Amino acid sequence: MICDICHKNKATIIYTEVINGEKTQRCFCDVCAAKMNREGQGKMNKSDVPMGSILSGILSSYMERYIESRTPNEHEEAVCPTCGMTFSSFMKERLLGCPDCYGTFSMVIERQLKAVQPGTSHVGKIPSNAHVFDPDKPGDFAAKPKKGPSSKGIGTKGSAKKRSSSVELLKLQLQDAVEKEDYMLAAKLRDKIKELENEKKDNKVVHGKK
Amino acid sequence: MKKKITKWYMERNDHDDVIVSSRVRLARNLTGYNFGRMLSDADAQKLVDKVRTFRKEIEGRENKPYYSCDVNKLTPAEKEVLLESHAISPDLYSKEQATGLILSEDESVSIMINGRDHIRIAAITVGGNMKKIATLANRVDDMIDSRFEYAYGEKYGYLTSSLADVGTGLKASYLLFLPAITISGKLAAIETEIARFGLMLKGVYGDGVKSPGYLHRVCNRKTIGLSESDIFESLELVVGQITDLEKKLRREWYERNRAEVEDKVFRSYGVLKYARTLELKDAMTLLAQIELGRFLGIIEPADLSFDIHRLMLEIQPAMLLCTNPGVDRELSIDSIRAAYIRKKLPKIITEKED
Ligand SMILES: [Zn+2]
Ligand SMILES: [Zn+2]
Repeated sequence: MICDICHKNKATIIYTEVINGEKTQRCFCDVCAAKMNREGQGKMNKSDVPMGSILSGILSSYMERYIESRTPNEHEEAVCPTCGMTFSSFMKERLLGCPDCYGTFSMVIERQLKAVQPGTSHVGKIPSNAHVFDPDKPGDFAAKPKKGPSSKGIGTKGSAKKRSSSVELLKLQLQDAVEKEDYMLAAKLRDKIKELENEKKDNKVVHGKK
Repeated sequence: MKKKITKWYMERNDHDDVIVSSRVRLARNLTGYNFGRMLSDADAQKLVDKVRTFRKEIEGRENKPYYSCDVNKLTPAEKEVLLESHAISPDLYSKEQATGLILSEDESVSIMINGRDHIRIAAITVGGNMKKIATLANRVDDMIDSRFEYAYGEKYGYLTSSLADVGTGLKASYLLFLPAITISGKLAAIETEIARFGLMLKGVYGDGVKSPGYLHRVCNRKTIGLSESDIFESLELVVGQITDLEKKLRREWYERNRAEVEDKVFRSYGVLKYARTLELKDAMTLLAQIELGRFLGIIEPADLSFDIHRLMLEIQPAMLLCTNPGVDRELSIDSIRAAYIRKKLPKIITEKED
């Protein structure tokens, strides 16, 4: 489906309007949707639908964020702290920069692996000095007993209480959710990011007062 | 080099009518270094120097000679020979950074350093003896494992620079000679069929599915979510079925078109025996035809040690120049090839002399 406004991009938002009992369906790409939202109803031209109130709140916030994240911006982009691989160059070249990239980009890796080869957990040989990789501590390999797999490791259920790097990860998840057009999840993630970012700010204030 | 060394592709003991060779490759990376894409030149050199010290150890423990070199310091011609004989990968061939190679004397085991991954262990053999080389590659892997520390995560297994290798890091493949399947147009169906097993088909000595020597590589696509033994098992199962089908189709084809097949085989022999220039593509196809004739009992080489697949390898351009160092450089590569084939092609015993 093509966007009703630019007639160029793929439509990602489908909006059904009921006027006088008659249903009309409108489709917008995410760029146009966010633009409309920012400009508000008044600035829309000609026959465009009244959008302002409908696409407010949730949409505007994460759409803008999403668009920002797509334009090259060093400060916004997730970067592997160990090797310096950026999210965009990973996506472009499909090559990882170092073992820690598996933690940094874990959200996307999970999804890409599912596309390339389903079944995303290793079940084969284990090296003698197997080291468990912890996504929370990039660059830090915790030694593991020689005998075999321990229960601790990347992606094991319930173990992931992420801290500072988690905002970055959530942002990746958000990007992912928008790409997948899962707007419910995107909204939740956006709230979560806001929460964490506010927490950070609050902490700074407290420390400052001391 | 005076001493006669038997390379892996000269072994004839394990000869098979369909399976030309079997190969195992393990992708490994070390902790403490970035992967290839983000590896600094200084670290690349450090990595190569460090891993190259392993040559002595493997030589001692395997009790046979191993060579090692800095691949990036070789001449293009030298690199090409290594590439054609499958001792190095295209990744290693084209990289300008420090790259290294540890190679057994018979070239059956190669350890590539700083290609796409820090270390790639490859073992290859003639015929379908996958078990033999899987054991060999695993042993080499254990040796390296005890010397260096591998990058490994419990969820993703062996961590590699590409997601196409992560998990076991294992690519196991059989090189198959499939003239009847190719000619009968069943290749595409097989490709779809084996995808269900997480396997894929690749043309060799050519692009995509079109391969002039009717040579195709079957290998595992999946590297994660399956254990090594699962991968070997499904590969073996599928290759067994392909082999049976190929043999059946060859015989059926011959029964239906006796005169045509015999004509094709003898013509191919005639051209190979007397042509003055031969393009690689044509030479490969013609050799494939006479191999088919040998299988069907139409012709029999007088020299039983003659191996068509070895000849196919030897007529690749860089290999040809390397094995014929004294050749007149004014000659075109196609005439050097034709001369080489004339020299190597054995006399044949025909079944019925009429
Ligand atoms: Zn649009
Ligand atoms: Zn990294």
